[in-house]
Amino acid sequence: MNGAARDLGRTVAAAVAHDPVAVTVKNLSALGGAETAEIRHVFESELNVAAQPAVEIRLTISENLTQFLLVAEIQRGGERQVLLESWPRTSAASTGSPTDKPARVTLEKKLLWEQDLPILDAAQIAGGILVLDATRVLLVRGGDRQSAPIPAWHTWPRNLRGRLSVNDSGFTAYLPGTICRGGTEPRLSVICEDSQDPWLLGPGALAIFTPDRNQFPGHIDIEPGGPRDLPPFYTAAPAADGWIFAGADGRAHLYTHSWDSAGAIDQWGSDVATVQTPCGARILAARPTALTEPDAIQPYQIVNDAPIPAGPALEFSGPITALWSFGRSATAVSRDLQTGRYAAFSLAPTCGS
Amino acid sequence: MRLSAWLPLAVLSALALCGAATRPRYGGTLRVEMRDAQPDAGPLRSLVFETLVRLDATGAPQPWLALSWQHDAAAKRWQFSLRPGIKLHDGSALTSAAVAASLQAALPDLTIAATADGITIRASRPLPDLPLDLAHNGWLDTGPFRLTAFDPGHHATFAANEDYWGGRPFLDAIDVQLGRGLRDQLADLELGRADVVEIGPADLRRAADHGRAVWSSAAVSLVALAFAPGHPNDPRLREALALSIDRAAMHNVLLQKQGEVTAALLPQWISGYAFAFPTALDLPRARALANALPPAARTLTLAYDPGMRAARALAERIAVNAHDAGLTVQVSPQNPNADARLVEGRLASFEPERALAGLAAGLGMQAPTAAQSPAALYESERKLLEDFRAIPLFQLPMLYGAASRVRVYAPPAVTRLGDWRFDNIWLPGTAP
Amino acid sequence: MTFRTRLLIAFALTVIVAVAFVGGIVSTTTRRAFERLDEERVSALAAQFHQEFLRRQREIAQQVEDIAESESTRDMIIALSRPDADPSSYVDAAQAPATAHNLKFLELVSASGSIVSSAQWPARFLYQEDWVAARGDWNSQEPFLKREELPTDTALALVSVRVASVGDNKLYVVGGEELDRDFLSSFVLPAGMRALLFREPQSIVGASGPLPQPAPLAPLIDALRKQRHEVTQTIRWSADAADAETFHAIPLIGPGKDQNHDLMGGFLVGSSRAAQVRLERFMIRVEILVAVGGVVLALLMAFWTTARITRPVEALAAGARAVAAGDWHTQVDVHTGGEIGALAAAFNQMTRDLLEQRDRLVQAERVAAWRELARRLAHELKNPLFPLQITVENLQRARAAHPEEFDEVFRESTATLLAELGKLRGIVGRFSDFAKMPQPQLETVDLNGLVRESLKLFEAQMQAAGVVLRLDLAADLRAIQADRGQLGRALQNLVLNAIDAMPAGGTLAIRTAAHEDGVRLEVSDTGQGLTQEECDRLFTPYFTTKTHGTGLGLAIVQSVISDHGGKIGVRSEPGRGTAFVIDLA
Repeated sequence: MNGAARDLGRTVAAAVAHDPVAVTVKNLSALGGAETAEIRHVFESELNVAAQPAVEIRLTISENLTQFLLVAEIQRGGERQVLLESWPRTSAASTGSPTDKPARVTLEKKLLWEQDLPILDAAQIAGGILVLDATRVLLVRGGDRQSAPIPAWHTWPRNLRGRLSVNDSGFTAYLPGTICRGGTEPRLSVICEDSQDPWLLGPGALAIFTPDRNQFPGHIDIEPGGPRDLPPFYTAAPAADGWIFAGADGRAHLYTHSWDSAGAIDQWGSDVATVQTPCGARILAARPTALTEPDAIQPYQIVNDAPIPAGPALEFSGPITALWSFGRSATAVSRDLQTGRYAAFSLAPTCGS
Repeated sequence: MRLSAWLPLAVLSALALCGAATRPRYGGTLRVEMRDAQPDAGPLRSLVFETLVRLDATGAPQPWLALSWQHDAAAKRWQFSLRPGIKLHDGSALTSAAVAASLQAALPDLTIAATADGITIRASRPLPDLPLDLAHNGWLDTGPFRLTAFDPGHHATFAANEDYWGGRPFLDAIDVQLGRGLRDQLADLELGRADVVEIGPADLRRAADHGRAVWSSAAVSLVALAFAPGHPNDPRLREALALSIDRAAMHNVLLQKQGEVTAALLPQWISGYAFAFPTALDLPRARALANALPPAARTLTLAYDPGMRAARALAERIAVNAHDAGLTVQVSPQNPNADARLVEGRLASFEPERALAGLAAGLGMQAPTAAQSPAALYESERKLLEDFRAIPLFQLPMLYGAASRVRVYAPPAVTRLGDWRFDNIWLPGTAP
Repeated sequence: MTFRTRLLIAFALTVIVAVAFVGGIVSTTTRRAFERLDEERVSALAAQFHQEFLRRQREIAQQVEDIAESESTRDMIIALSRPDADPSSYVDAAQAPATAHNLKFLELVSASGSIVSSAQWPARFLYQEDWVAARGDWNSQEPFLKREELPTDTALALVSVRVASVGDNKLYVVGGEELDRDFLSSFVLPAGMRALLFREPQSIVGASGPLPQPAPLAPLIDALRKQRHEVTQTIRWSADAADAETFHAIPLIGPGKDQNHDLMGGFLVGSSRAAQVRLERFMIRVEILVAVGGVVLALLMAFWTTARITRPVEALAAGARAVAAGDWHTQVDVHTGGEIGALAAAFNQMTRDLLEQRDRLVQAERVAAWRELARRLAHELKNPLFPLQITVENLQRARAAHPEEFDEVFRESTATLLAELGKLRGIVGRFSDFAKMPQPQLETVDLNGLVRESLKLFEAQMQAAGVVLRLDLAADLRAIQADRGQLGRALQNLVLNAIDAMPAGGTLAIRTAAHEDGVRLEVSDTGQGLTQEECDRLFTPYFTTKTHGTGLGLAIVQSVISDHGGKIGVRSEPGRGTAFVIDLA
């Protein structure tokens, strides 16, 4: 990879006669953000990158079935030149053996908790389960149940959202306009405050939640891109080289780490999450069904800005009302259409066909 | 027992019912329709014939008739081991010799020999992507269906291969009507007279609105403008036309955003560099080129095959775009002497060099120069396109609409290249 | 030009002028009547056109309004207003309402001005129609004329625009019909009239389709383009005036850019001139007939009139000519009264008087001629007689006084007597010749040959005198009937006179040429010339300018020429020479 980037950099430098250049990078491949950054670094190291360039260079990282490609489009005034380098992908075609790591991921759901009231989120902790709903935080350990009330400083908005974030020192429960922090040892303890602090979407990912709505208004702060104002969204999930936001417009929008738009997906609902699997990260997405229809969650891979199913869909007996991820697993809440009860499931991915 | 105690049982029963309703059923005849009246290759072939290798959804080669393979360091000598116990349709066992013979006919530039449990392939140059080639070459009649009746141009019937090594297909038979127009196919689907039909991009929404499942291949069909050989059109005229075409509008409206806009012959997923051929229109330059032509030279005729998907709408839109540049394009379907034709060409191989050669031949262009690397292939493709004798417009997927009664046990029913995997299709109940 | 001819012309002109005058008045009156009728019919048709136009406007406005207010349009606006709206799903949406409302043109245009669906040109989706979105008061606007671009041509359309709104979201509905032959076939036309529709830039159609040869209408169209108001012109379709049509063109104006009204086309009402032309031709034929009849009548009148006037005048004129030719006995036989009769009687009296006077004159001339002859004779004879007398007296003296010298004197005197007697004989001989000049014996004579023969006799004499001969004899001179001897002697006489006129040498020129119906012979010299008085008396017998000679030479020449039916003339100038010109038949 680096060799191709270096070779291309040298070829481009010779083509532009070492004039000052500006480089923009776009990734169309399955390579992650780290590799993209490294390619850029190696490529630019061969060039005279300047603030006032004489030449514009667009470097695209692409791929086909067997090769990764680096395509440099050199634009000087009205003239355009294209240079390529490539290196083989690690695939069966070049190694000579059939792939022994199938890309398919199968989800297994495990019921965590079931109740009549809407469950906002649930999380497995050591020896127990934490459940968040509109009125309380519930700790279930075996047959023991402890609950701590959540004060109702506001009238909750319709389609109430909430999220549990568990770490080693305890947990944080996020609700619109309210943040509750607590611990489970020795007993459940919760302190809530009227707060509009941003919610934690994932490691290094913060987003403001509208206190009287069911959505994030779009103000985020996610590494490495930094703070940004995006259109309103419901959920967000990290992708291979960026983030996916399930927008309030009904489409899932892809962004690179530098907040360049990378397209949109129409066939997903308003809940997306990412799980890490041994065979790579997979995006979990629910279908854009009505709340009166059964839903399903399917794992996907994003390839060339398009979602490719990466495993069978996991069916539910009703609509998905919440989907949050916890690294290697995810939590999905669904409402049974027949009983009307809410059930929280842990979704665990396994690699294999 | 309280009512609530019955509840879980009821739920379980419902689930059981659901479980019974969703378990695939053996039997039934699948009714399929297609436009092509002379399908000598493509999807029908994939019902009956198989290859050593198959590609999965991500394009990685998977073992099929071959169980495994390996090659030397130079990738010039390959060894494939065959899956045992496979029978040909005539009942005889599949032998290495038969495999070698079939492959040798398909790849005459290689030396293929049978071994005890497989074949060896020797080449004079490195072939690191040989499995890609074998995913679409060296077809053997070991497939899940057998051809039982064929009326050329009208009808083909396939019956399940009871001894198929991958398990007998669910379907008893597949009935294929050939040479049927797209409109008629969609009508048959809606009237319940067909189970699987081809659909054009413009009918996608209608099919989806009616609750039909839509199966799509990858972008494997190139829609392009091809200029007739020997027509003494000024290259400035061809370039002006190329620069005047607003592909994005046609793609969004007429093709319902199916496939992708392209100015390259190979699709992005095959070449990896298709985006490097600019697709944006440049109306000022198109006008300048057109104005440099004498007025009588600014007119050309454009023909299209009425059976081609969205052909008329695309041709008329091209005429409208050309008018903006000061050119006059007269659209006349099936005009044998037209200056240019709107054509559709299918990708015939996953291997980029072979795929490019196939497309160039289909468009009446000279054979591309040999290319061992993407950079060389890009240059070869760029040279083919630099005189604008062919103007690529779109890469479209093959789209199929399936009736609601058609169930797919293990997707996909249609592969990336548009081959049919109908061995995993089943039909509930009796045929309507 | 005879009196009869003048009279005939006068009568004929009178008739023709009268007929033309009356015919002109009738033609003008007829033409004006036709034009009035034409104007009324054209006005009626123009009114019909305006009514039909208004009706169509109302109809189209209603149809477009219906579409704008329909549920399907409302649903479309709502669907398109959504953030995730996909206009491509409505690309065919205009077809059905266009068909249902019988509109040839229907476009649905988004609020931003881009075409969502076009029934007449489906491939123009997403194209900008900025003019639609530029205006906000469409719902109060009447339908207007517009040029609509189609895939293969341009049509003239009557178009209405309505804005369909749901909340703040709007959709423009642009619908209309084409002004074409169907529009024309809705008009009721009187016989001889037709309606055409001109559509910019160059299309002209009638109720049955495109006009096969619209070229003759080009001046009308140009005038319509320049003036932009109603124009009337007569168009000739062929060389036959009956094929002409008078066209009244009503401009069709559309709302152009910046309200500059564009000419979209014109409504042309054609009124055939065939009937008028046929009537005019009939009138002309009648006029001609009347004129011809009048001329014939004039002719008859002229003949009758001139018979009573010009014949006696002609008789008088004939009589005068006869008198001029020498027939002084002419009497005119005219019995009419009045001035002509008196004129004829006076003429007859005149000729009688002229005869009497001529007779008296001839007698007087005869007397004068005898006196002149006697005088000349006396004069001529006196010369030789005197010497005779002297000689005889000498003889008498010599016999008386000197008898010894008488023999010698007798010899000398008898010699002298004989010489003088010879002269007397010569004089008497010439008189005799002149008196008994014989009639010429005519024969075919080549005049050029006669000239050459005669000149040979004088070659030595001319050389001795230093006279240069110049001959200019016509090559194709025809032969004449003449007495070769007489004519030759006459010519010789002239040549001799010419040589005598150039004692110091000079040039003698003799020329022959064809002249009128005969020949001309010219003999000229460069001698001393003659005065006018000498020329007048030159041919008088015994007139001479020489010191010798009888003076009868030129008189004999004149007599010979006269006997040959010719004439001789002379022109001379003192010091420059003399030329004798003889014309012979």
